[in-house]
Amino acid sequence: MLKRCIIAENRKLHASPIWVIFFVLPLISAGYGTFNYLQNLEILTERWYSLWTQHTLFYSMLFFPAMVSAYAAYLWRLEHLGHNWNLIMAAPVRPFALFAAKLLVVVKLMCFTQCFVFVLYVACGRLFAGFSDWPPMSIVFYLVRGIFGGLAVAAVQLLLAMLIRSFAVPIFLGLVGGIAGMLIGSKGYALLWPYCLMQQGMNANHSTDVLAGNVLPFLLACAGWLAVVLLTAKVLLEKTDVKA
Amino acid sequence: MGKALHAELQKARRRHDLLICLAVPVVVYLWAGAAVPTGADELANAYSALLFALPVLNAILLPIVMALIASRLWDMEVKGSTTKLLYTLQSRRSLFAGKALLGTGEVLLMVTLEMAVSILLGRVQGYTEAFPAGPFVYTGICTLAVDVMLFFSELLLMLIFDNPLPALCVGIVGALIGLFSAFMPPLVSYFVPWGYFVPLSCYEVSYWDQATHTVTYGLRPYNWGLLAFTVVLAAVLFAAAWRMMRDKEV
Amino acid sequence: MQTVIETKALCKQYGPHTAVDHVELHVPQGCVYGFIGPNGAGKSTTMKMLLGLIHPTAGRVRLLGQELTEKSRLPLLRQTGSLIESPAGYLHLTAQENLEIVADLKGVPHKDIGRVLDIVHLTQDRNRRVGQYSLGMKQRLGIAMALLGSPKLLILDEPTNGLDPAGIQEMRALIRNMPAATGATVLISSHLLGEMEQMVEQVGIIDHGHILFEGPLTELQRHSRGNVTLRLLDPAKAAPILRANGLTAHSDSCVVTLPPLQDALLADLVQKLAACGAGVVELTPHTKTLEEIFLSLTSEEAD
Repeated sequence: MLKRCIIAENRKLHASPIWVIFFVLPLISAGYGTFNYLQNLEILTERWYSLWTQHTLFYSMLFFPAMVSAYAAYLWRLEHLGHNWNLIMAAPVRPFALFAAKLLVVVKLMCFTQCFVFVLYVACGRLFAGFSDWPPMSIVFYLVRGIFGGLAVAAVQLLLAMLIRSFAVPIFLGLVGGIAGMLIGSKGYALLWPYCLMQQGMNANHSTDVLAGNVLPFLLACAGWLAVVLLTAKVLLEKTDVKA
Repeated sequence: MGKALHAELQKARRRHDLLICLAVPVVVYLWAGAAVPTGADELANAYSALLFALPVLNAILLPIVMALIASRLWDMEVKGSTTKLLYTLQSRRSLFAGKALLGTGEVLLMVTLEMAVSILLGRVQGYTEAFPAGPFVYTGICTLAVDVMLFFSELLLMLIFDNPLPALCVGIVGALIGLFSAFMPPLVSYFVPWGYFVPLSCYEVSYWDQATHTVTYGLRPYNWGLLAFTVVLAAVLFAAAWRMMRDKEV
Repeated sequence: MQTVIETKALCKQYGPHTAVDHVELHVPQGCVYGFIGPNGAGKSTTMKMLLGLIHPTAGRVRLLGQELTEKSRLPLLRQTGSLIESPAGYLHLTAQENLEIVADLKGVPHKDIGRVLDIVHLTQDRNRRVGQYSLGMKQRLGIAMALLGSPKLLILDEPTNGLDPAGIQEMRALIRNMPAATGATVLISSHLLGEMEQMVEQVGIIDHGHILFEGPLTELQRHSRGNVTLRLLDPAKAAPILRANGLTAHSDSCVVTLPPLQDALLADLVQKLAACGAGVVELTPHTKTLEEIFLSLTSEEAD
């Protein structure tokens, strides 16, 4: 059932230009990060790690949430327009499978983006920063953790986009969530706010691992947020009426 | 004109756009106020620090907020397929005038509240620096000019595509490169309109004590040239959006 | 009688495709005019040009005795109500609020809103958001918008789309009575010919952008004299007589189908058939349905 939903979601996205933004944002982020790294060599002395923070700082704090919001809002806009709600709710699948399918489609794209971020990072390091060795393995580990953190953001944004019929408002809320995440994260309560998790997982603003020895609470926080959102979505989709 | 604006206001009912105009200053207040200045040195330089930080926050927030406002003004016509009806009731000129007036009004309200919020922040956190009235007004005018310019660029995109997706994506990407251009050489930032808040800023870091991590901010000359260019750009985008609406086939 | 809508050689070209080709419409005052054609024939395009929503490639439009120009357009449209293609409405607002917006733009007092809501039976639902409306309700709201301010001319593009059978009946009655009740002239388009027969006096038939026929419905129906069927007790006896009159009859059963005949000829034939003992039991003259007329008009066009 879920598989059919995913296939349907993928088909809806055919010929949609939305993936362009997933390509453009990391590219800009990498370009700027490399530039900034080269400009500040006297302060940024940790080579691959320094380059990593420059590449991912703004991206994971602010623009990743906004990008995922745009994607989530787009997936739901297809249903909000016209009478598609009736169509999909009448389809012989559990409404929750629909939500899960959308989440998986977002996660799939997110994984591609993470790979792209890594490729750009390595390329910039070798070509422009002049590193002759390869980046430490921990970076790959950060990227995987970033996906777990991003999962919570994607789920929250999908929920918002499902509830808010406007396309733009959830995106604005995603940005506000990211800004709030910066503030909450700086106060040390990062695990209590989903929008902090991506940035924590990516280890975006530290050269030493913020989560060293703390990975288990981080994963628990990701799973906890995910569970809360999925449960809310399930209850809303199955207990409330179709809104067409 | 009055009639068109009245109609736009009627349509704005239950859309809670006012809430967005209020949310932005609140976010700015919380964000700018998060770093409470401590110590006599910082308090004596606090307004300068705030007016230095404000353009950066604007560069992150406002390209997306302008896309939001513009998309909400036009998306309801797309969703309700009301353009055909409207064009039989009012001239395209008056429809455009109504949208432009309401959008500009919302932007004006937002900027006014944002500036009010920075005064409030000064009072609440007890800044000791003398209130810099001139730079303050200049910052407000610059923010307004860039906002209006971005608003009409996003409205133009909405009119071209009849879909909020491109406008919002341009808003997000614009915010990102706008923010990055702030840390690039000034020449680069001149090519990135989304980030004009920063090169228009009248404050700069005048002294950075690396040992104590204290920063002193100082004034720099007003950038009248870029402000004039922003206004011209806004006028061009206004004209382009108007032409788009005038020549739109329904 | 004054002509309320008049077009002269109206054309609309979309690239190489001619959507509307030298259309001449003449809609007399105080009638219901049916604008009939299959989907994609150019009905909506013509109606949009009548409202100045799109610009003609060539040709002219006169509404209410005045040339339609950029300048005269809005004053003319204030006296016009229209519903084009899908019904319009702000989904986040109620029907009442939607009508207030239209009333203000038209310069019509708000007290007229109650009247039009009554006419389309939306009074009960006036304070519900249009986003929650069914398609039929949105369609009725669209008609209410068109009726605001008692316009002299109503231009309705397939107004019965999405209505239930009861709604369609009501709409027909409403439109049929419009000229008598308010003095309005109605131009209504449809691809359903049968439904038009019951409410229009004048018709214009369009296909592939060309007008095939324009005139009173009665004249169209005069073209519609159809076949005659005879039911006979003994068709074998009738065959020689029919042959003698130059008629080919299909006499494999008791029912004989004859082509359209003059009344005198028919009377004569029946008398002869009766005399030879063929036993005429039943004689049924058929009128062509509008569908058949339409098909014959379009096939003539093709020839």
